[in-house]
Parts: sequence; C-alpha cells; structure tokens
Amino acid sequence: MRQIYLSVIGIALCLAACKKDFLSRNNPTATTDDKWWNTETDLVAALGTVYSGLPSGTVYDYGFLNNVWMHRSGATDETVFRGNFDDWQDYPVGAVTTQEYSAYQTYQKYYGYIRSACRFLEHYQKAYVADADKKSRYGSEAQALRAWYHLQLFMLYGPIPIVSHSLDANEQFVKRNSQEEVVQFISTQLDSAVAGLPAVYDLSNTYRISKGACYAMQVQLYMFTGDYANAIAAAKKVIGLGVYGLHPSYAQLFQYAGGGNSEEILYKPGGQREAFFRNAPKSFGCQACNSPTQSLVNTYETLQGKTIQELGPDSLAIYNANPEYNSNRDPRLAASIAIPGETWMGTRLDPFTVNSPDQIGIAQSTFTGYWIKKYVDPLDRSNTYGGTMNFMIIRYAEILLDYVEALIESGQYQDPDVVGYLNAIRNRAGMPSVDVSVYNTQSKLRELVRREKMVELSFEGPRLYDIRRWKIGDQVLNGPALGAVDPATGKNVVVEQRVFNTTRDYRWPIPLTEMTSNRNMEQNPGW
Amino acid sequence: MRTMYSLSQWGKGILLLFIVAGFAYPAGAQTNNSGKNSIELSRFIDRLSKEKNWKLLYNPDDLDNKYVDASSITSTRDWDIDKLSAFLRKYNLQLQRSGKNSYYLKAFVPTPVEAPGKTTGHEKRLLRGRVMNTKEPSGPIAGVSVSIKGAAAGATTDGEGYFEMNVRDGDQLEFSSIGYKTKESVVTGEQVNLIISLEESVNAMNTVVVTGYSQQKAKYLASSVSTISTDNANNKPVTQLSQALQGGATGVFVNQSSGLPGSDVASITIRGVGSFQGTNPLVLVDGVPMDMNLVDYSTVESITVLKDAAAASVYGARAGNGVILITTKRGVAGKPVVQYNSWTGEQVPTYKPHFVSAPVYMRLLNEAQQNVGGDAIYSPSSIAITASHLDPINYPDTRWSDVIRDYTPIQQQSLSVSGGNSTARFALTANYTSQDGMIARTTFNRASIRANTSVDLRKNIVVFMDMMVTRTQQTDPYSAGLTGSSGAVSGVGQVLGWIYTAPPTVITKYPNKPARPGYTYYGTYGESWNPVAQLERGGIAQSINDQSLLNLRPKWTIIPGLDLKGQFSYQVTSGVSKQNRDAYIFYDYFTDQPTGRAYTDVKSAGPSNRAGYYYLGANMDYTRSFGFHRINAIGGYSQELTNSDAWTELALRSVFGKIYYSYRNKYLMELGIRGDGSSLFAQGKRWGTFPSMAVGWNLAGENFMQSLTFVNQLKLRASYGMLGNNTIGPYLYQSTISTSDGSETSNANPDITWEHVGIMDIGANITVLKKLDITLDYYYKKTTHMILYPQPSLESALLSGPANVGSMQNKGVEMAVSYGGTITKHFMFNISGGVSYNRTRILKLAANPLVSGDYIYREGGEMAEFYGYQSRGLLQQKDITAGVPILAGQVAGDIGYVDRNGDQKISDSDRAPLGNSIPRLNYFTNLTLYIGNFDISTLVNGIGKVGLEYTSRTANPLNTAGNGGTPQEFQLDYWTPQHTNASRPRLTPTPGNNGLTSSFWITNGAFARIRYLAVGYSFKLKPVSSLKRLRVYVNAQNPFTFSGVKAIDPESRGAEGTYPIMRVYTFGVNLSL
Repeated sequence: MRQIYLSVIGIALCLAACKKDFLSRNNPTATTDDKWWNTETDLVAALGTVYSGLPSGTVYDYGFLNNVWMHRSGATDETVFRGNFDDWQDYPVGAVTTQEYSAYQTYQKYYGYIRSACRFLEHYQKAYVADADKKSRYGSEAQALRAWYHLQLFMLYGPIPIVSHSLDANEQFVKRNSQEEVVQFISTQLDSAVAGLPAVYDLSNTYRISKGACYAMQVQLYMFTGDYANAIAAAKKVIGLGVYGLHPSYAQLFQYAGGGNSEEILYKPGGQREAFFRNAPKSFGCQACNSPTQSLVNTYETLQGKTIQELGPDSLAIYNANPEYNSNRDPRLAASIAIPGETWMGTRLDPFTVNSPDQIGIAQSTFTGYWIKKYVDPLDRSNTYGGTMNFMIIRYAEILLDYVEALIESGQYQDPDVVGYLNAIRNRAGMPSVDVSVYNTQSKLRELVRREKMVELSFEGPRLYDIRRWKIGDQVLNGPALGAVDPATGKNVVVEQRVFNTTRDYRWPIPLTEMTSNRNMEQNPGW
Repeated sequence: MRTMYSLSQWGKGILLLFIVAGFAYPAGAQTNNSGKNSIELSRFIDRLSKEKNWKLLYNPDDLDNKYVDASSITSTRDWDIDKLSAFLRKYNLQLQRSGKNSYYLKAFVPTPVEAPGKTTGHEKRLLRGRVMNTKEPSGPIAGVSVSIKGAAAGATTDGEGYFEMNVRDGDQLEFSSIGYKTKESVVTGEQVNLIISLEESVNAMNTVVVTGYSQQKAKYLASSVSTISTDNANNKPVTQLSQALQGGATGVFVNQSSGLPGSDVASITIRGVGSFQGTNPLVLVDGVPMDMNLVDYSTVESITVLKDAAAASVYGARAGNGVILITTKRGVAGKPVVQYNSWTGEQVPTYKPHFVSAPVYMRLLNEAQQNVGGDAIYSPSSIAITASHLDPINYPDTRWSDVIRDYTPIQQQSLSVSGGNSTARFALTANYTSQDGMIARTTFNRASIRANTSVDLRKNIVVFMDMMVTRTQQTDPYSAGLTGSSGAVSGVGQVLGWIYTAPPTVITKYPNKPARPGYTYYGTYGESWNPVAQLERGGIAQSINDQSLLNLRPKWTIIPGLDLKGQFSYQVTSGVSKQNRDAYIFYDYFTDQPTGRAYTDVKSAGPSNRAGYYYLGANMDYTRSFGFHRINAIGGYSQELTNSDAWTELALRSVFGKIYYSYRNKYLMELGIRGDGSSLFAQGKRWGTFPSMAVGWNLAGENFMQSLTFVNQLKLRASYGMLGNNTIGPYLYQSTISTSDGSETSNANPDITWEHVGIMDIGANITVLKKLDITLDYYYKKTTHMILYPQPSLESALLSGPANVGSMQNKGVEMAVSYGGTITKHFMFNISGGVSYNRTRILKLAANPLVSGDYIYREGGEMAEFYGYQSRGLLQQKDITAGVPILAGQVAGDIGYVDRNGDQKISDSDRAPLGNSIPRLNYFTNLTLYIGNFDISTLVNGIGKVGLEYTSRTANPLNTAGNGGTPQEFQLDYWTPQHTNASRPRLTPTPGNNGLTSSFWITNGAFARIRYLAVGYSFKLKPVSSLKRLRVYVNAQNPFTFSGVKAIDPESRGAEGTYPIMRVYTFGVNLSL
C-alpha cells in the first residue's frame, strides 16, 4: 500500500514538474525591434548612440581610445606621441601593420555607428513624436552622421564600401565602391539631410548636426577629392548661412572662456575631459602624451609676418633656440605650445636639467621639450581629468581656410575673399595682414594658406588629411623628428627617425580581421 | 531464476562472437602448475563443473573477490559433492541442490553460535555486538568470525550480523571474514554494545567505481573510466580541488595558470580540446553539477573521470568535454571517529624577476635612444651619481622586485567526526584554509562545513541528507587602473605589472617633511603607479562568496536489486564585492604640488554573483543475475534550472537510460542513451539524443587462458557513442536589442544547437602477477556541428553569433601502469604512472583561417597554433648589405624575418603557423614507499614539447611609449655591433618590429615538475590507546622544476602580470581518535 502511495506521489511530482513551457526562456533583459521604437525618448536614446562616435580631442571613450584627434596628431609631423594607451607612435616610424589596433578599431567602430544610424533610419518612423518636424529632424541627423562616418572612413582608408542599410548575414560580404560612388553617396546624403535640419539649434542642442555642419562636411569631402568648384560652392553655403563668425580671441577659443563661441560648427560635448591630464607637463602631475615638434614650432611666423626661415640663418638659429625670443612670434604659438624655460601656471618648465620633474625623454614626460597648451586650461588644474570643455571637430576658421585654398587651387587666387579671409583669421590672432607684395601668386598663396592651416589648426585633427591631400608625407614625415635645442649641446634633440612610404602610407591598412572575414575586400596598396 | 543456463553452451556462443582465430588455446587446458598463484573461485567452479559434468550455478556477486590457492587444488579427480561442499564452507558458501547433478551456490547462513561459558576469568562480561557492511543502507554481515587475540575463544555473527561473547577490558577483538578487511577493536570500560563496520577488501578488478547514476565493479565496465587518488590532495597544500587532478589520471591535462590566492584554480582538459567553447568538463558532486573548487577535498571519497562516450553519454548534451564525478565521504556504523588534519607552511614564488640596477637601466635607455637616432636621456654624470648611491633622494636606485615577498604563510585545519549506527550515520567535516599572497594585501581564506547524514527510514529506505556551506574571502589590492572604478579583483596583476614598468630611477618613498607632518611622499610615476604607493594607499578589493547546498537523496530498495532513487538538490551562491580606498593626494616632494592621479574615496559594496540552481530527478536502478547473466539497468528523469544571475534562466530536462550486461564476467556490454532538452536553443532544436555502446571481453576468464596463471585480468574494451556540448550563452537564438538605447545585443542564429561529439575508444585492462595493473586506451574523438563565432565582415557590424559550422578531431593514446609490492613486512612500495598523447586537428572552420592574436586556427592544423613570422635569427650587417628582405626601418641587430613567399618583402603573407601551443604529451609518476613507520611519497608530472611564447616585457622590456619597463639581468645579452651572437635583439626604446609575433620568441615549453615530495612518520601506538593514529609529516610542494625555460614559470607562463605558482613547504599532522 505504502509503495503505491509513494509511486503516486512520485508520478504526481513528475507531472507537476513537467510544465510544458519549462524549456522556453526568453531573454528577460532585452527586447526586440517590433516591441521597441515607441517613444521620443527611445529615439533620443538611439540617436545618442549614433552621435557617440564623434571624436574627442583627448582620451574620452575608454572603449574607443583611438577616436581622439589631438593624440592622433602623433601620426603626423605636429607631435611626437608617447602614451601608455595608444599606438600613434607607430605611424611616423613606419611600424604600422595590418593589425594596428587604432586602424582596426576606427574601421570597426565607424561601421558600427553606420549600422546604428541605418537601424535608426529603418525604425524611427514607427515611434510617436508629437512634433512631426522634430521627428524628421532626428532622421536627418542620423542621415548626416552616417555620411560623416563614411567621409572619415573614405579619407582614412580610401574608397570603402557604402553601407546604406543594416546588412544581414547574407549581404555582409560587401565590396568597395568606387571613389565617385562614395563621393556621390556622401554628398547626396548630406544634401538630403540639410533639408530636415535647422541652421541653428536652441542652446541645449547646439552639439547636434545643423545645416552648416552638413555643408562643412561637403567642403571637406570636395577638398579631399580636389573638386574645388564644389568645395567653393559648399563653403559659400556655410558662409551664406550667416550664423558663424570668428571668435575675437584665438587663445580663448580653447579655454572655458571661449565656450559656446560662434566658430563651432560641429563639436563633441565634453570632449576635452582629460585634456589637462593628458597634455600638461609631468611637473603638473600629468602625462604630456603629445610633444610638439620643432618643425611645427618653426612654422609659426614672427609677429611681423615673416617666416623665420626667410629671416636668414642667424635669426633662424636664435628663434630655434628660443622660439619666443623677445615675444616676437605669432601669438598662436604662445597660445598653443609651451616652450622650454617658460613659466606656466607658476611652474618653470625645465626639460633640460637632470632630475627636473619635466626632464625630457623619461616616461610620461615631454619627448621634445615642448608641450601642448591648446585646450589645457588652468581652470582644470585641480581636476585634471574631469574637465568639461568641448572639442571642436569642425570650426569656422577651418572652413574659411578650405574656401581660400579652394579658390587658390582653382586659379581664383585673386578673388578678394582669399586675402580677405586670410586677413580675418590672421588679424584675429594678432597677426598682420597678408603682405600682398610677397603673396600674390598662386604658389606663394598656396604656401601661405598651407602654413596658416598648420598653425591655426594645430593638433585639431585636419593635419592628417592635409598631408594626404597635399601629398607631402615624404617631406614632412621623413628623417629625424626634432625636439627643442638642448642648451648643453646647442643642438636640437633628435627624438626618432621617421620613415614615410609614399606608395603605402597615404592610406591606413584595411584591418587584417576584415581581410580574413570579408572575402570580397581588397587591401590598400602596399599593405 | 527459471532460466539457468549451463556453463559452457552460452560461453561458447558468445566466444564465437569475439573470437580471434588462432588465439584460442586447446580447450580445457589444465591449470595445475605454478605453485604460488591463486585463481578466482568462479574460475575454479566453472572448471570443476566442466570436469565433473555438474551444473554449478551461482550469482557472480557471491563469488566476487574470492580466490583459491592453486596449489591446494592440484588434483580434483577425487572430488565429489561433499568435498566441494566442505571446500565451499571456507568461503561462506553452501550448496543447494536444484536438480539432477545441478546445484546452486548460495551464501552460507550460520546458525547463531552460543556464547562461550563464563569460565575463563572473573572480570569477564557479556559483550553484544553487530557487524555491518559499509553499504547504504547499511546491512549486516553474516559469518564474520570474531576472536580475541591470543585466546581461543571466538564467535561467528548470525544472519543479522549479531554476535555475543564474553570479554574483559583490554581484550583485542579481531573481526575477519573472507572478502572483507580484517578489523580490530579494543574492549574498553563498560562497553556492552559494539557496532563494527567492515570494509570490503578489493583488488583492482573488484574496485567499485562511481559511474553515472550508479556504482559498478570495475570488472563489469566496458567503458573508459579513470579514478583519481585523493592522495594527491590529502595533506598537500593544494588550495583548489582542481589542482589535485594534476597527475591523477591519463587523458586528463591539468594546468594551473596562476598562483594567485583564490584565483589559482587549474583548468582541466580531458582528451584534448574538442571545442572552441572551452574544455571545462562537466563536474558532478554527488550527482549535481557544481564548481569542484568549492568542495573541501578532505570530504572527498572518490573522483572518477568518465572519458569515453559510453561512460559519459548518460550525461548527454553537456558531456562532450568529459565528465568528472566526485563523491563525498559518508559515515559508517560504529563508534564515532574523530579526525584532525592540519598543515601549516610557507610559500615561496617559483619565479621572481631580477631587474637591473638604476645605473644599468639608465645606460640601457640611453643606448636604446641612440640606436634609433635619438639623443641620450641620462648624462654620464647622473649615471655616475646614481651608481655611487650618494644622493638617494635625487638619484635613487630602487629595486621594485622587493615588493614581492619571499615567504608568505599558508595553513589548513580540518576536523571531522563520523560514525553512526545501523539506522543513521553521519560525517561532519569542518575545514579552514588561509593563505597570504606574495604581494601585500593579498589574502585568501575559505571555511567550509559539510554534514552528510544517512538515515534508514525503514530497512529498505535510506535518505541521504547532505548540507554544505562554504565561505570564501579573497582580498586583493584595489587597483583602479585607467578607468577609475572597475577592476575589483584584478589588482594583483596590475601591481605585478607596475613592478616591471616602474623605472628603478623612481624612489619608493621620500623622507618625511615638516611641511606635511605624517604625510608620506611617494616617488611618482605615471598615473600614480608607484607599486608601493599603490599597495599602501590604493585600498583593497574584497570579494566574499557564500555557497550553500542542500542535497536530498532518498533511496528505496523496492525488492532486492531494484532501487528507486530520488534526488532533490538546491544550491545558492551569493556574495558581496567591496572596494575600499581612502582618498590620497600625491604631492611632489620637491614642489609640494599635486602630481599623478589622486586617489579618490572609494567605498563601495554590493551583492554579487547571486545565483541559484535546482535539480530534481529520479531514477530506477535494477540489478539482477540470471544464472551467468548479470544485468544492471538504470533509467531516469531529471530537470534542472540554473539562475546564473538575477535574470538569466537556463532550463534542462533530461531522460536517460543505461544497461550494463555481463555474461560470466567475461563478456560485457554497456548500452546508454540520453535525451536532453535545453532552453539554450530554439523550439525544434531543443531536444537531442545521445546514444552509446561499449563491449568488453575479459579474456582471463576463458579456459584457453587458464594456463597463463600470471595473467589475472585481461580485458579488451571497445566503445562508441555520441555526446553533446552546449557551452554557449543563453538566448542566442533570438535577435534582441537593448531596452535602453535600441542597440543590438544579439543577432540571432535560430538554428543554433549543441555540438556533436562522437568518441570511439579501444582499450585494455591488464593485471599480471596480481600486482601490476596496466590500462591502455586509444581513442578517436570527432566534434561536428562545432560552434564557432564567425567574424562577420566589419562593414556589416553584425554581432558575432554562434553557428554550428566547424569540425575537429582528437586522437590519442593513454597508458597507465601501477605496481605495488611488499618486500618485507616493513618495506612496501607502490609505483604508478601514466602517459597520454593527444593530437587535435581542425577539420572544418567557418571560412578562412581564423587568426586571433598570436594564434591561428586553420583547417588541417592543430588547435591554437602560434602564428607569426618565421625568424631567421638576428639580422647582421652582412645581411643588410646583402639586401635580404626586411621590414621598413630594420637594421642590424633587429629580428630578421623569413620572406616565405619570396616576393622580396616582408609582409603579412609571410606569416606561418609556428607550432602547437597546447601540449600533445603529458605524463606523471607517483611513488609511495612505506619503510617501517616512515612513508615517503612523491609525484612528478610534466608535459612534452609545446610552444611557449615570450611576450611583452619578457621579450622586449623597454617601452618608453607605454608604461615603461625595466630589463632583467638575463636580458642584458642583447645585440650590439660588438656582440653579434647575442640571444636578444638590439635595444630600442619601443619594441617596434621586434615585438611582432615570430618564432624568435617561441621556445620549447616542455617541463617536468616534482609536484610534491612528502615524508611522514606514523607513531606506533598502543592498541589500548584512545589515539588511533598519529602521523606527522613534512611536504614540499613544487620543489623542483626541470625545464629549458628560465625566464618565466613554464606552467603558469604569461608575462609581467602573471602571478607565478608557489613552492610550498609545509609541516602537518594527522590525528584520529
């Protein structure tokens, strides 16, 4: 009897346990596309992820450390990079491989943001947003951002595959598009985005993509392909919007005092969070990751508008040894770079005394004897990695210089806008107007605008693309990288020997991961 | 019992199935020669029945483990039934007539023996006792002879195991019965009732092995099963049970990659890597899946490894990586036994860096700078002052390796009490282990209690009620690193890393200054990465974990041979993770300005790892002998639900069955099947079936083998079966997005299902001369539907998801040998060893070869081969002059790479596989000696040739682009134009091209390690002493390592952040009452 009892209990237990849905377990913390995309909050959050790929100036997103343009200067002739967190030092010495982490991550992440943008565009219409214009504006923002990521990939890796919708597994092995197709795609996408975007946002939304940002991207796109007519047209649209102007003080542009200036076309909010810690000298308890090179320092004119090279060898030697000799240099030098012996925030920077806290060449100190001052605001001194300054991705002065350059390159160097805008930029910085008795030919003006670009926009990111456009890698990224003059030897410190391969180094390598996962992909030449 | 078969007919029939022509000896070969040898009783009975034409039937279990001295039965010509009957009485067997010339042998049931009269002394009194076996539920043993040592008096237990006899204080009682180990007991005090349990005495064939859902005698097994001796753990400073599997069994590769207290678990690979999803075997403790490292090894009764499909298929979809069954100790009926085991000792790192001094470092850095066309950093005068040590504040010379402590304590205390009576038994064990790390603020301790009880509800129902609670507490330096908040327990690795990166030119601490009384000025470096400052001011990260387990297992013996077993198990794991750091601002000693990264207050604590698990199952176990046929059939059902965190749920529902069949102990067969349904997969893909079959032939039981009396066992085995492996994350069959921002969290593969693992095994178990056991196995294991995570094209930005696309094979051979001998009464020894060879081969991958870091996975290649450039050694000036292909910027003294494709340049396409990173060969030897009261034991294990890569600062120490790096003494052998036959490339400030993966940095990582060397002394105790055992011992764990690798520890490998394995010297005591 008891045995029957037990058997019955056993069977009952078993049946109770045999719930039919025991093996069906849905992911409790995630959802699906058909259940989401409902509210404006959803759209704002999803669009936020598309925005999050915009670059910062110094370390910002620990998951995407390479998306940092001031540190990327280490891949150009502007600085020597020595950081414990990235690999820019490999670029100027020819040590980049197809497994270079920065080249891999940039490629992978930017396509990730492109997918986010595609998915946004595929789903956002479903959500309820009371203001229909706002909803379509969200769509236009995603579209413009998608174009921006394509533009960056194009400038870094050459013509790349266009991705205009979220690819499924069967479509994933895409091929490269031609340059014409890529340019066409970016440009038309931007054109279409412009229609849904405002020229000006309210104060809390100024970081969003505006009409001006789209035109500015078109300027960059056409400058990169040498299509100066279209570049001029797009630049004129930026200027024609009438919402941008040059901030009165160059130095202030990169300080808290210059926040919200009229020059910002596209910026990364808070993108300079760690600017102080990463770039200030070791004696400030900081890292000095980027050390400006002597060649950049030597590009700044004298206060009279002469290059130090044209002053003759004696003066050159004096300025070489003391760049700020008698404070007679382009004020942008003092605003951008700290020099040996300078007293900054009460500390005398002394790279050439043994056991000085700023001794040159030791770990986490300057490697050239120079330091970046741009965006290093004394207000961050007590909070060296918690700054809140924005990083300007595109600013008006850059577009004006692009415009001027396009005029010069397309033969319209006598257009009054050339000298006009150059003067506006130079005068704003405290420099004299262009000496038209010297700069009156296409080639002289080309020389001038290139110099202006380098000094005006130092460490801000465009230099990498300018070197590629002007094909000057073999001139500026070859041979010894020099630092400041060591008073003990009277000679410039040699930091390293740089190597540039003109058949290869104008493009980054397509990452090895991509080459092995996409059978249709072609590697860039030389890699 | 209706069908009883005559002996020979069936035997011949099955023999035909197996027979190998020409192998058969002339039938009926006589076995009357070799004097010393004994033969199995069953064999003798079979022979006799043939000779006499009697039908002698028996239950093979009754004849187990009983032997006949061959010399005593040289001639049976004159034997009749009576003589046989008398003969069998010696074996507690009697004959029962069941027909004409037909008899059944059954266990002898004696009549109760009357107590001897009270004639031998006035102090005598009556002692009643009962002798029990150690089975569950516990049963009586009949026919045990109980005698008083040195006296003629004796008694025999009755059918219920009871005996009575007159004893006096101090009498030594001896309990003996054939098939059981003799036991002694001393009569003490007022004792009038005595319960004694006798353990079965077994030889290799009769060892009971824990198998899936049951236990089997080894001789009935046709599948490949290994048992692991607990001696490798007992009394050894083994901090995690997984370490104890090292050198435990063939086919099991155990590797410990860190010695960090609390994180020093070893990884276990059974018969090669058969999956890209890891090699973790399924570990069941008393039937439920569990992390074996939570088990206190002093509670472990047995560890069994199920290696082939026939053994493991009853665990189905999770058994692809092999199965490890752990059984915990249970009490036996009798007076409570108290055991106290303790050891304490010191740990010494097996490997420690030897950095160059500051002046050398400065010189090297200068040289490196100059080598790349840069300027020297340190002036000759500053190097000279540093070398003079005259100005240690401005010119320090710090040896950061001093942060690593040479001796750190470790200890374990374990106390257990076990005992019980014929209705309830218990075993209670408490254990405490504590250990300090070689880096300050690194500690680990664990306390655990296990209470195993068995209660007989009725004569045929027993309930096992087991409880376990364990608390582990691991403390490490808190190391925020770059991110400032996460990285709770990774602190030790960071600090170790900084010991290698902090330059010797940075001071540890400055003297105090009156400006800030009580404030310590640390030498600053980087983001406040002075390792000493980090340890002193960086706070701690602590993780505390509690595990509790309830395991209820009723067992109802419905009729003899038919058991119904239920199991309900519930485990809950819960913990807390704390980070505690006080704010600290680093002021520069000279300027009094803040420097580096300040430490902020970190006071965070929160629950972690809250996980739950339940198991509910039942199975029926039926054993029956029909004449010479023995069948054991098991069938059952179970369901399991795992909550690995607050949300995640994993459900598994299973049905399984297994049949063991044997005929005359000679012909063996196992059939197994399991069906598993898993919530990991989409509907329609959930259920899988895993069948298996094994056959075995015990040749030693055959007549033609009778002349080879030195062969005690010769069993051939063959098996084939299917297993599964489902080590993937949950919900991957669904496409999901994040609820916070709509980003994708998984791109579905609705077709995903488990990996299929087919294993074929051919093996043999051989016992010769009774003492030499040899086990041989060959296996072929093939994984199909192997789960890979193919890398989608980067443009698609699809999330990598699992797909059943790959295929892989493992082939291997294993040999285990053990031999035990008694030279004299005072000298015994036992030696065993094993060799395993396994080779993996990837048969199919998703698409192209998969290159991941320094490894390549390619079709036709082994698992995880090193991949990189082939080195042609260091480039010499003549190579440069001759124009050999080099990478941009390379000069003499750099590592030369081979231009494999001959295109006159070095590029990605010149890379090639550079050899296996997983050892193919591993081996072990175990030796135990007993000399008088001393015992000596040692274990050596090792691996054969395998690539070992020097990475990071072990390869190229200097790295001014990164966190820095200080070279070690052995790295001074670098190339210079004057020293061109150096072992290392020229100095450069950053590794550059010399840091590429190449054969230059890959060396042979083979090693042999003496795992332990223990010497013990057991005190000879008076029989009447209440102390039953007292042994003291010393043990050296990992005392010696033999390897060509000197730069790092060859077992834990790794670079600067790796915590090496410890050498541990302990002293211990074993005591039992």
